[in-house]
Amino acid sequence: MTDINQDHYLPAGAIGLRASGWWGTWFLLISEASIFAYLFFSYFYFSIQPPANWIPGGPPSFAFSAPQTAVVLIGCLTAWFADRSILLNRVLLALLALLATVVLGAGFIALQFLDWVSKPFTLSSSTYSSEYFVITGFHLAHVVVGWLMFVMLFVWTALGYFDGVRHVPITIGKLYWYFLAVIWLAVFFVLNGTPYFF
Amino acid sequence: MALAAAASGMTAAPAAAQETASHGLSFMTGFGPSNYGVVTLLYAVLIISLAVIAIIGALVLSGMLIRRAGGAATSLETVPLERSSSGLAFIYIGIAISFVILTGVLVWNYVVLAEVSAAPKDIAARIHVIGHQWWWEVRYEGEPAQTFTTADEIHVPVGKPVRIELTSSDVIHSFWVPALGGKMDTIPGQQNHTWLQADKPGIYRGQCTEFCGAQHAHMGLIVVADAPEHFAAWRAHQLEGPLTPHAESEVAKAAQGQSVFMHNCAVCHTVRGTLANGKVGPDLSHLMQRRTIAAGTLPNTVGNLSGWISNPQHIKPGNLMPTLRLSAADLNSLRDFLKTLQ
Amino acid sequence: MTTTYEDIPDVYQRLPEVKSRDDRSLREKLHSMWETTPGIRGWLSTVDHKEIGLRYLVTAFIFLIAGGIEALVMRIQLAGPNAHVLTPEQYNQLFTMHGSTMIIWYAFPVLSGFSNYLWPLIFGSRDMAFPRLNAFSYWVFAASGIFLYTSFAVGAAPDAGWFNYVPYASKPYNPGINIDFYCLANIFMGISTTAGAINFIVTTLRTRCPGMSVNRWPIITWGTLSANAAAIFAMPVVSLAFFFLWMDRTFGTHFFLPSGGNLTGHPLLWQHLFWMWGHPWVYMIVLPAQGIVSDGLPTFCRRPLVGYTAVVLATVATMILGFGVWVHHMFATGLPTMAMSFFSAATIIITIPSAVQVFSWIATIWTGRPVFTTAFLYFASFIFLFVIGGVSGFMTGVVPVDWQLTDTYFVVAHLHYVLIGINFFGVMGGLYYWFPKFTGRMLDETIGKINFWLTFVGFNVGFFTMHITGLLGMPRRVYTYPAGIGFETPNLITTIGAFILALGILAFIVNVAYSLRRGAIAGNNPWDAPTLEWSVSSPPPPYNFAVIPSVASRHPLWEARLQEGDGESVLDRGPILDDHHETMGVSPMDGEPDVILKMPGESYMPFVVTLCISALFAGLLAHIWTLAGVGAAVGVIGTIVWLWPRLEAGERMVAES
Repeated sequence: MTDINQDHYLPAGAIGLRASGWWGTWFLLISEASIFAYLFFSYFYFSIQPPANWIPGGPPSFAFSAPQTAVVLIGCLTAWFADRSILLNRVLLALLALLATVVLGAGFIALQFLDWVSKPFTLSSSTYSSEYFVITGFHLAHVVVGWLMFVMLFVWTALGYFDGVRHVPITIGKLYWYFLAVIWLAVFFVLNGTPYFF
Repeated sequence: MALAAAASGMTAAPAAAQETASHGLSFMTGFGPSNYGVVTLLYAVLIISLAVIAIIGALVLSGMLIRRAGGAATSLETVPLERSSSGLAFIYIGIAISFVILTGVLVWNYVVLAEVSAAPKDIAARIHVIGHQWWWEVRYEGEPAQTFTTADEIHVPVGKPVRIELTSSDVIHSFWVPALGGKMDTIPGQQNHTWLQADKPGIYRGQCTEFCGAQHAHMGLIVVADAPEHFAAWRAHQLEGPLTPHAESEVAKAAQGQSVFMHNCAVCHTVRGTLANGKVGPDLSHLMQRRTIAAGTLPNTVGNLSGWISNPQHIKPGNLMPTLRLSAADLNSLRDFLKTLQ
Repeated sequence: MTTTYEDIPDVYQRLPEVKSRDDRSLREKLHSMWETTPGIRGWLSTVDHKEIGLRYLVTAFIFLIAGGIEALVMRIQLAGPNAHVLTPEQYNQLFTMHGSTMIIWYAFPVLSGFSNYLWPLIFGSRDMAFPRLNAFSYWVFAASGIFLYTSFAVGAAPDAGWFNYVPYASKPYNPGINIDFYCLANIFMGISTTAGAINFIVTTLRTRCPGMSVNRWPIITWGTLSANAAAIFAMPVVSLAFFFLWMDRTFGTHFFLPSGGNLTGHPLLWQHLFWMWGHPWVYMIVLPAQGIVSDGLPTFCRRPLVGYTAVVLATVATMILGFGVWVHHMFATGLPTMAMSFFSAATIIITIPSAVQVFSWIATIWTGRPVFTTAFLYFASFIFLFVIGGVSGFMTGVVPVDWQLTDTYFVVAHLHYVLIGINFFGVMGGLYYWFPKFTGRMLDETIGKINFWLTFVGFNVGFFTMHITGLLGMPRRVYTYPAGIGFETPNLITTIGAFILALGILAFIVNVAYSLRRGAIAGNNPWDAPTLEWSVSSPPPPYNFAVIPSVASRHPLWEARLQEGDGESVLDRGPILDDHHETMGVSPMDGEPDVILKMPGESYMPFVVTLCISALFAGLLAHIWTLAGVGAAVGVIGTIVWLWPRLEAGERMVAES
């Protein structure tokens, strides 16, 4: 059990999910997700205190946030597909899926800016506006990082770096996109949903 | 009588209030019901703590000495490894005893906490204390005709509870009169409250205990506990205006002084019964009645007062009172006016 | 019978070659593969965890001395009443910088220094899981410290306390650049802490030697693992607090300033966010030190630690409970009694797991045969000081008592007993213990005794007295105090004690300087200690282990004499893993070999990216947005270069042959 068998092969290098980077990313994402948990804490800290109706102009509109939700969820599909494709050594399909994710990411960023510009308040108008822009801003910053990530994944895949065995960066990219989606759903629920409940 | 006393440079009270020994900032003795239970509990946990330190210290030291295998020069390979008993008994016994003591203290904690937090009935006064950088605004609440403002000194009747409502006008401060009770922060945008009762007449020191800037160290206050009739007299007197001097010469001096005051001081300070209505600095009505100036920093003597007015930055560097550069003549007149604020 | 992975092409797997560790040509090959390039190139690009560990220790000590000097100047001011050695503003800057420096730039990095140096050695591995990230977390630590201390150079050091309560730290009351330095330096440092935390966790879970299952991890790793796991959850909340404050100050957001109506920020939000990090942080800076003692004390008592499992559980429990007590810093803020009762109970309960560890150490002494080296004296006195700090904390956990004790010198005494008594004394013992391993020489025992006694006496004279000062009612954070209410004598005693403590630290520096040149040569294992780091030379070769060991017990070097373990540890033969910078990756719980990890070698990117981040923060501080933007952009490019998949590190596909 503990002695090194002289006859036991071992994978060498970043094989599948054995790579350290996979583990490291999980812990990084837990830490980043905590940021949002605390952001929501601060949001609710204010929302439950007087005065009620702290949102100027009523609950935020779905005009942009609904499409954003759709975009981020479709991106989950394309990212998943990219990972699946590279696992099966279908490099071209992987490239297409990665490219689609890049486009979707750009779309999300654009929608976020449109949402911001449409608001009747600015960053320093009120506590609510401060919370709104900082929460969505943190998420946006993470999306920008994700977008850059997928651009690089596209480049590296095009350079022929990945195959069915060594592909963990794409899997990490997929995991990251899932993270973006989960966080977005939470943001969406807190900012767009909870004003209707209390 | 009061004016004569003031003319001789001594502070005086409107009636002969009992001035027993002043209490410092120690809280090891309680002088009010906010504190008795706490002091007992404090002594209990202190004794428990000292006992634990002594026992653990003895265990470590005796273990070291009894079991010693050698000094620094000993080569560790020459001391064979112990394969003996597990030693877990130390942990079991230690935890069992600790657990019992901790549970006991926890329960006692809740009992005292409930006792101290309970709002007393029959409040003798409701006092609003507002923290400022670096002084205390004190407003006695009640019917509109009965409310008044003073600063840095709170009077309470002996043996009766008063309710203190706390907020801040700028940064977070903390209100603390150790001999009479625990701390409570004054937080801008928030109303806190606490209560005090002094069972013995005397002067009790207080201090701001939340870091609030350059002169946090010099933001004290005092609580004066008087017999109830003296307290009532003091309170009534606070509603009055300044004394009018009798002698003709004094009247002119006071008027001249008041003019200096209006020009230089009224922007920030209020004196009831005059046109001075500034809200930036402490209310100075009946200033000469107070035992201290500059938030408990100096005894209220004419010398200290003059020194303060000429150069407040020397005594409390960074405080918000500007250096006025009054001429000696103006300073003299001002002093004459202030002496009427009995 | 050979077993292979069927789903993995042959080109990606191999049979690790096994040799003897004394094989000379193997050692030479590994040496030239792993050694740091000499000169400035190596200095900027090294990823050798041992070098990084030593840098952490030295830099943390520099911050210790800086914080110490700040304290000594404060103590001169406080030696007598109404002194005018310092203006209020100078005092406020000093006590703020003293707190931040000690608690953030000394106390955690010094422990990271030990962990960095020791973990691969303790785990039987060649490197940490993320060598470049390791280098990066050091550079960021150093850069953020320089960033913070630049504030002194421009006369605008933070001055609102290390805890920096708003509104005093908000723009209207503190308009200068002082607090901006504070916010940004702390966020900057947080990057280092988080990066380091990820590294330690993955290293502990993945890069150990075969056979080192979870119940065989040396006890010291549990303290560090708990602390770093906590960092993952705790760092974000305080970085958010600093960020909110910086936004309030720079862009006029409304997180903290109460401005009425719909604009209502809330000052207490700062306190919640700060202490939700702050309390776990203080456990993070003591649990690894407790781990040092749990690991070192048994060596000098010639027996394994009593109650390994109990101590592991107690360590983890302390850290978890540590997240549930933060409101005890806010008992005087007017919160509901019910809420305070809960946190008070948690604060009192958390002493139980600490007590488990105390009794374990006492039991180890009583059932062992202690040898009185300087290291042992530090470890033994640590137990005593820990308890003093613990009971004063217990006292302040009782709410109505805390209403008297909080914000007085009693709390200052408490916090110094836990920080100096646990962290510093643990570190000192650890340095005496591992200095031979780091340098190949023993620290002198005579100077060591002088060092120990000066430190012990000075510390207790200075800080035990502070309990009394607090009970007399002296408030904290005051630049002076009046005469006549009993504060003069205890303050003078404390000042004297502080200077004696300083002499003790000076004696330590003298000992290091002397022993580096003239200390007795240490062999591999001068203390006859049980764990793997003592099986290699002192100092270890750059590759740590010529062959990867496999372990069968908690104490590989003692197991024969103790007759413990499952089979036998094998240290003299093992996989040579010499194809590139390689080490073994194992399953987290059982320690079964899982993969041969290919580690990156030297790289300039960690240093370059740190420079970029420094530019970013400098730009944010000075409101030079272009500088910030350029810093960020170049940093992104640097990160991309850093992460570029490398063929030799097994990150890219290889054509099948």
